[in-house]
Amino acid sequence: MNRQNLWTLTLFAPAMLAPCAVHGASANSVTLQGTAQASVIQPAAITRIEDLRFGQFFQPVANGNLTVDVNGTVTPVAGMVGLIGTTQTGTGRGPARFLIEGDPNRAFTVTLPNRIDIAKGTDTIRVQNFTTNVPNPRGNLGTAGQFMLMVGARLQPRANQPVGTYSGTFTVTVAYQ
Amino acid sequence: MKKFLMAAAIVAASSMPAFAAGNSATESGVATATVIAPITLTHTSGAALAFGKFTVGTGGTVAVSTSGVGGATGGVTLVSGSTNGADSFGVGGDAGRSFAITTGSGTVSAGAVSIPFTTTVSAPTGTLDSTGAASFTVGGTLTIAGTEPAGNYVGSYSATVTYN
Repeated sequence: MNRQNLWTLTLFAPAMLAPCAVHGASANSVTLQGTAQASVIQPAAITRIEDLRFGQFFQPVANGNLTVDVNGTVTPVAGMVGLIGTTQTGTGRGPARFLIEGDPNRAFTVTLPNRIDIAKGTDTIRVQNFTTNVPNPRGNLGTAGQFMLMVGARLQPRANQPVGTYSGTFTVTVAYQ
Repeated sequence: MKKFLMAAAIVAASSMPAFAAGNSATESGVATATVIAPITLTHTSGAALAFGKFTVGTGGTVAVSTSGVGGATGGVTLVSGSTNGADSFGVGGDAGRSFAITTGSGTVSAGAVSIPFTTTVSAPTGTLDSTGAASFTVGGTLTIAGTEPAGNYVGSYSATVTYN
């Protein structure tokens, strides 16, 4: 086989879509250039911006709940009614905020725990019914590839809950869909 | 042919688990709450709003300042051995938090006879210190008609503290 023939064969190959027989100068083998592609997308990332703050309230004399929702609406129930109106010092009261970043227009879901306890030494207060502003069944990162996640929950102090500041952590996981 | 086999082996060894990194991310959030001590008020033991000892004359007033200094007006005369004093209270609660103070009026009575008084407070608001403590004093003005008979007159009034 002379070199000249081989060059000619290569130029024509891309115009011919497989499968079709290609007759090579040699009857024994033929070569075509295929195409390979890969897209690396930005990984999902989540960054904590603000804590979930139930704020300051007077010691309850009866069991009750305090719900902070994703819009910042605060709802006291039973033993917590009438105890939350005091001037808030420090970081105030409101939902947690996380910045989710990743591949633009990609769908995602967020996972939170069922419940946690926040603690001051050995004293604890139950936090449950976590809520988010992620649409059902999944969110979308949009053209900017970002979503500001808001997280609310319900705090359940008990009668004569010991005075002091309680704190705890909860895990938030974002996953592409 | 040999080259192909080697390449395939390398890929297999480094393949990612089904739940690939980059596809999900995890972060920790923090939740906080603060239970505040209720505000408490205690009356200082032995303290009282003391208008002292006096003759009523044709009537007048006895005024006691919030620092306990007394003075008579009109026909009322404080007598030797009279002592005046302001009442005193302690406040307890959440350190650094401010509160409002209000005090009411009252009467002092001996049997069926009553003499009215009004009160004044050392400050209308206060702030609990770093140990969660504060205090205030109460003075007042007793309005005497001049017809009251001799006797020991006692009475009470209300003092209220409220967190802001």
